[in-house]
Amino acid sequence: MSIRSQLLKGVLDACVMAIVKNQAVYGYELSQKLQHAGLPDISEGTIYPVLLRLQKNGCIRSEMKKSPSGPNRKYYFLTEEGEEELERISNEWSLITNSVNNLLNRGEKE
Amino acid sequence: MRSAKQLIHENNEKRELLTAENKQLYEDFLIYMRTELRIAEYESEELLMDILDHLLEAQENGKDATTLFGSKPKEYAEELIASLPEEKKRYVFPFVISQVFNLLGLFCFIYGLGQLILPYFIEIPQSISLGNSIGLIMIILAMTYFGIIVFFKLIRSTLFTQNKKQTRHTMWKAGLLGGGSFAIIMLFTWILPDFGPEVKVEWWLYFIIGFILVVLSKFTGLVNSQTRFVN
Repeated sequence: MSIRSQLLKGVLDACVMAIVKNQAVYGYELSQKLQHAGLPDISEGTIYPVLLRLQKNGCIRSEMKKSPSGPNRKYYFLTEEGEEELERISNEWSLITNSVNNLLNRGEKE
Repeated sequence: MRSAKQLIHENNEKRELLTAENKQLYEDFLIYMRTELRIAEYESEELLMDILDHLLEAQENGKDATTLFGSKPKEYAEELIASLPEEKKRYVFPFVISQVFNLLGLFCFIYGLGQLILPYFIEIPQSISLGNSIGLIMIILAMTYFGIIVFFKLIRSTLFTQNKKQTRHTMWKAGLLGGGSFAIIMLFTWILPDFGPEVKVEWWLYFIIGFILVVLSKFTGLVNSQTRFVN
């Protein structure tokens, strides 16, 4: 596994929730959006364990709806619990990244 | 509002739209998931459908199934199994009862048929030993239970591999398993002594008992499929 995908594993839940918060999406659409967001080395299937976990925790819910291209698709929505969880993770993430950025940048200068 | 049964039916039709290569990989994945008996049937059928939809759309965009399953499809399947909920006991119990009744019912029919036809050709005992029969039924049920578990294990070992030699080995093992269990059952009919009361049962009574058991089996199966409606 590449370093990037190892680092991502922990925050993938938050990435998925962030996309779903923006707009309800179905499985394939979600995997494309993740790739377009600059995470191309995640295999497309990676989202399904994440989606199962998030649904189990009540962070997202699903609904069958007609898609613009025709057939019925299962769309995912962010729940209130999901919004709170996303908020929590985002805060934690910015705390960590600030500290890590400082550390790593300082290392570069020395 | 689809039931697990409807999902399976829909899956059978949609799967035909996959290309030969994608279908091969998807069907290995499907069998791997369906032979995992601990996970909830409805949820896993729903997931199988989601992934099939995904594959079909990826296929339209010129991608093959490995972009979804990654380079280690078996590990991926295990990851999904770990994320799926376990089947609830109240669904498992009626299912098992239904299967057992069905098996016993068919057994009664065959036995009754033997009682009806065989006396024209050979002499057969007129009565059966109740203790011996119940003992044998228990042994057959236990053998069926372990047989299914081992058989599923064998099937799963042939998935996600193109190794023809290994598949042939598995066929041999499955054959030995079938023959072996039959031999064990035969051995028990031979060594198990008669005990308990002797009863004389007319051939038509077997048919009636068999019929009641099959009806009960269908009934418990029906109750089961109705309680399984989720959403």
